[in-house]
Amino acid sequence: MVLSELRQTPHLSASSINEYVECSLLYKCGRIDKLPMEFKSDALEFGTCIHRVLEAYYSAKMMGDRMLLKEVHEFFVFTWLDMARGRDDIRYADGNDYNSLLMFGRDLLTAWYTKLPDDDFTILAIEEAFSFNLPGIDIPIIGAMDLVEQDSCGTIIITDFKTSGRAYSKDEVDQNQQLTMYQIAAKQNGYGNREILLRFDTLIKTKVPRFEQYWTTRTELDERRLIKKARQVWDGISKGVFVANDTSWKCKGCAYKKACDAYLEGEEYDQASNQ
Amino acid sequence: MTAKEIQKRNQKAEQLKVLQSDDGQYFVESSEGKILYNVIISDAGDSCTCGDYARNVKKSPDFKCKHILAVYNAIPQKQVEGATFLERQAPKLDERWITKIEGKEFVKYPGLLDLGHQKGISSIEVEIVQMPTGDNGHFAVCRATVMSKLGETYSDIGDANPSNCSSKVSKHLLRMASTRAIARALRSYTNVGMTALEELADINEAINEGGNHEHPKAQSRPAKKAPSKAPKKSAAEDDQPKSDAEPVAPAVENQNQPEPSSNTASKSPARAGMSEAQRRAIFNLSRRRGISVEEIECMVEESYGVTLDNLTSSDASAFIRQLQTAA
Ligand code: SF4
Repeated sequence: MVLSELRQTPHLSASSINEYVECSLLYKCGRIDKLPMEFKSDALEFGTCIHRVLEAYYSAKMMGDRMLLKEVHEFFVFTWLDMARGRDDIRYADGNDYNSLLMFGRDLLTAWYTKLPDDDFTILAIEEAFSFNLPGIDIPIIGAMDLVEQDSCGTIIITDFKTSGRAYSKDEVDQNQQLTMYQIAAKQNGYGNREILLRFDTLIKTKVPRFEQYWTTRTELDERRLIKKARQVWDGISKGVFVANDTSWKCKGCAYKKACDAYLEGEEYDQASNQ
Repeated sequence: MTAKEIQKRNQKAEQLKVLQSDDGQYFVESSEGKILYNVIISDAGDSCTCGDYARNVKKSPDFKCKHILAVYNAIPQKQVEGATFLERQAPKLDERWITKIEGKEFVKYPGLLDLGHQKGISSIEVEIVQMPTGDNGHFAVCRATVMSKLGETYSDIGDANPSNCSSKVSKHLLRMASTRAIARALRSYTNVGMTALEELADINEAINEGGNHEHPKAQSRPAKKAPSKAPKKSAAEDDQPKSDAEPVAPAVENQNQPEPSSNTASKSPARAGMSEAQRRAIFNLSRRRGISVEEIECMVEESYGVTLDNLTSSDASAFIRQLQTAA
């Protein structure tokens, strides 16, 4: 089953667990009540576009071709054009607009392309969707690994593509639960007896764009901690516990702010959700 | 934009030079002729890389700067010049970088670098494949990757050990291996068939060497790994000059091992050597933590009693964990 199909069924994922922990009302608005988002952030759309370009690059590499930088740029321009041109639901951050991101994307991809180390890892999968069950959680955990490779000794390398406004700290890399979830998924899905390494390929949107690879690993203890957390999240969801964390850093860019305010202030949304 | 403003910009636009590159992009020269602005004319809207455009387009999405107007004016009047300015002068290897020894020509390393820069180098990266240690006969191996501005990569390996270096540089084996690796990668990139002087053990080798170098081709895809023979060296082998065409691969990789398929995954035995991905992870983690290669070597020796290259896969795993928890 592909990820879009998996997403149709009730599920948990690394990001939904994270979202529930950050603000469970945000989780409810988007994932249970499925309220329409008030806007889409430019960072999210731009990140998706870059992600598609990287996916295309690795798909070509998997077939034995190497996209030239010019082709990478062209693919980006077409994708961005297709995704963002003429859309009025994208909220651009200060100083950004459709055109500036069109130009910036090319510079960002140049930084990525020129700094990407030349390796001869074998590509095993791109956008590898996974689904598995954990005891105590009635719905599956789903997700997709952006890139799965192996080196000549059989070590598995799972990479997640990221765009970020700044470089990552040590803890952000070493504690990121999305990567932990990928490791659990990889073990559940046939790579249990392999050495697994995890990596972020991060395109950093600084004034002068940068590209960084961050390698990391996870222990069984890291896995256990995340599984425990996933169970607690499921417990909260199944009992209908949704608390608005209205001092969260997420509130500033939250796409459900109006619904949240209405709920907290006891207006329509509250009534609707209690019906 | 008011009619007056448009008229003013139009007047300025008329004096600007418009160029078009082979891939159809428009460039407009600034009034001082010092900067080229990239103008995009498309159904989705026009844009320009100048500050005037960036400032005004936010207020008025249909804003046209003088560079966009210049392109509008130039197209019907057929005043668009071909962007011949983009073509560089053909890169040329200056004769002062070529030296002749008994009738045979050798290129010097700075000459290769110079030629590389003329062609357009985006980056040169060197990776240590093998540190010189007593266990491996002080055999240093480096891999250099030259990336051109067009995104092509050229990768090659250079090695240095006491028997293939002059006594003057034998204390600097790692640097020598790195220079040789870069020289070889640059030779591929610049298509120079001559051996670099720095690649040779000594002048005698220069004289005896044949001229038919096996030359790695320019790659349009990621470089393949070097041959997989670990440098198992007897004293007799040490005396042999290293062949130019046979770089040495890291001693630690189990390259002769069959590649496990994803379906027949099998755990690398604990004794298996550190894998390439583990090596990359170790160097990546240490770089991010400001730990030098020498310090890494010491940490490995202290913790596992072996050199970094001789770490087993399971020890490498544990060492990666150790690095992750390092401050
Ligand atoms: S505005 Fe803040 S509290 Fe409300 S849903 Fe969004 S993140 Fe949660």
